[in-house]
Amino acid sequence: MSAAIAKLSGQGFLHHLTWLVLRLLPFVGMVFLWDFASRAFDVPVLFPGPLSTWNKAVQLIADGQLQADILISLWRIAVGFVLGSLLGMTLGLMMGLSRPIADTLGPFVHTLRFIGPIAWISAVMMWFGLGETSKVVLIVYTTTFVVLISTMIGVMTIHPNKLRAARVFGARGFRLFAHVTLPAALPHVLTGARLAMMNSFMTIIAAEMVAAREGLGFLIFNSRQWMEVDAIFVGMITLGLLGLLADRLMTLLTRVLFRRFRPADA
Amino acid sequence: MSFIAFRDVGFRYGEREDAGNSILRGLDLEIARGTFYVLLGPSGCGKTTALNLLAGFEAPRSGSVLVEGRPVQQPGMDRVVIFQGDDSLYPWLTALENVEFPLRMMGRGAAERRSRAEAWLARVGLANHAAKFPHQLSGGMKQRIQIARALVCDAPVLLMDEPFGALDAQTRTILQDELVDICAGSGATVLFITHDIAEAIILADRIGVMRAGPGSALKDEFELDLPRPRNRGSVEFAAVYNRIQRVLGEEVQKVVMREAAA
Repeated sequence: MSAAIAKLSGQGFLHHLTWLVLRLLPFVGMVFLWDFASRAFDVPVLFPGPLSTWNKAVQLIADGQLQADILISLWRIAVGFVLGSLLGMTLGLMMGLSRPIADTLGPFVHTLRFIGPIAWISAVMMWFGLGETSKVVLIVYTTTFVVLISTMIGVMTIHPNKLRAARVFGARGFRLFAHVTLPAALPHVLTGARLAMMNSFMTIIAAEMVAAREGLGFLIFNSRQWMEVDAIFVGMITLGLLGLLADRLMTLLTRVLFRRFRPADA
Repeated sequence: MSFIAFRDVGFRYGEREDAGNSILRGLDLEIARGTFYVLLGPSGCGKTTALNLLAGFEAPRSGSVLVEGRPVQQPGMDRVVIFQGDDSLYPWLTALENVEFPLRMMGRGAAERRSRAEAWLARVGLANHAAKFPHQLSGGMKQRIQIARALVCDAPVLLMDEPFGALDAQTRTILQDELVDICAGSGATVLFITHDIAEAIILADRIGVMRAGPGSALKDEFELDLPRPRNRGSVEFAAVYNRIQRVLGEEVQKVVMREAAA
């Protein structure tokens, strides 16, 4: 208790305050710049300032619409991200471990990953309709390749002496995999998952813009029809803040669950 | 029959033999049980290849590598390796868990694993660092973990591939002296690779000097009967050093000349 108080007073408190102010500074600067630009543009309907955007946000929250859009978008991302990460990790481990599998699937994977999820939207919508399945499929698709590639690289770059030492100590087959290959590749898997999270955010917006009745992408796209640029801004800012939150959350989870396997902290 | 034997061993990379790809050719080498054998040679002469063949990481193209008359088939707990550098340690395991690793692979119980690993960590002076991860330890401490991890296996054969090569001179000297203490009375047979003559004299019962590659083999052998611990500053030490230097120096010279010509 006394330690906590000491931390919050004097130097500790100042330190934390500086920490917070420094990180908020770019955001505050951006708001001022935005306000200035909005006034200079001088057509508030087309380029609303921070204040009218804030008012719009308050209104959207009061209506309950923003919360609903956030929840549905996050749910789609979460399901697709988890499934895609598992699929990508499995395929990446297989390709990293087996030269024949890597040779067989390699060119195919490298072709497919350049047909981005956005190129698939039209076809996927026709096959799976406007419901949840189509969005989840697209998120799975976009997540899989990023996690796959980094997992495969993680397995392939394990230093040979790690595997040689394990073989000296009698590890073969599954034991070698479970005790050396998997833990050694795990930091790469986690880094891949973190990058894939960003891709998921991009993909969900595109998918919801093209075909959806709700979600942040729908909010951003639909508001154009009513010339509600302030609502578009609310959607964009929400997206950025959710992304930051998701990224921090993943870093935190990684640190707690996989403390030993820490990927480069940032 | 000697304990360890290389019989007319040849090794090369690639299918067909051509001018430069032969690493070892006609290597004959015998090591008696309990001997600390140091293999000296200029860089690129195939010393590490010889160790890899005995470890079972590679298979000879011709000839045979035998332990107690049986050809080496694959890596095993009877021939434990201490690698150069720290890449063979597992960064997600603590120092203690790294030392426990071989026992875990052997399927030993948690209590036995812990007590044996702790005993060896203490033996190499890391008792107070058991809970630390490798990246929290210095280069010399990481090599101590490797030594503990190898010796916890009670293996009859220890293979050391320039284990102190990446350390600073002071740390290297200390670890050499400690290794002499640890190996004395352990009864283990050691094959130790180095290009450092002084290191060889401190450690060895017997020293083999290899020719410059390609197609290297044993050039000369020296029996060392200086009492231990050996004094780096003594007259006897200097005399042995000079004898070996003359033999090894010619081979190093060949490598230098060839590199200058290329």
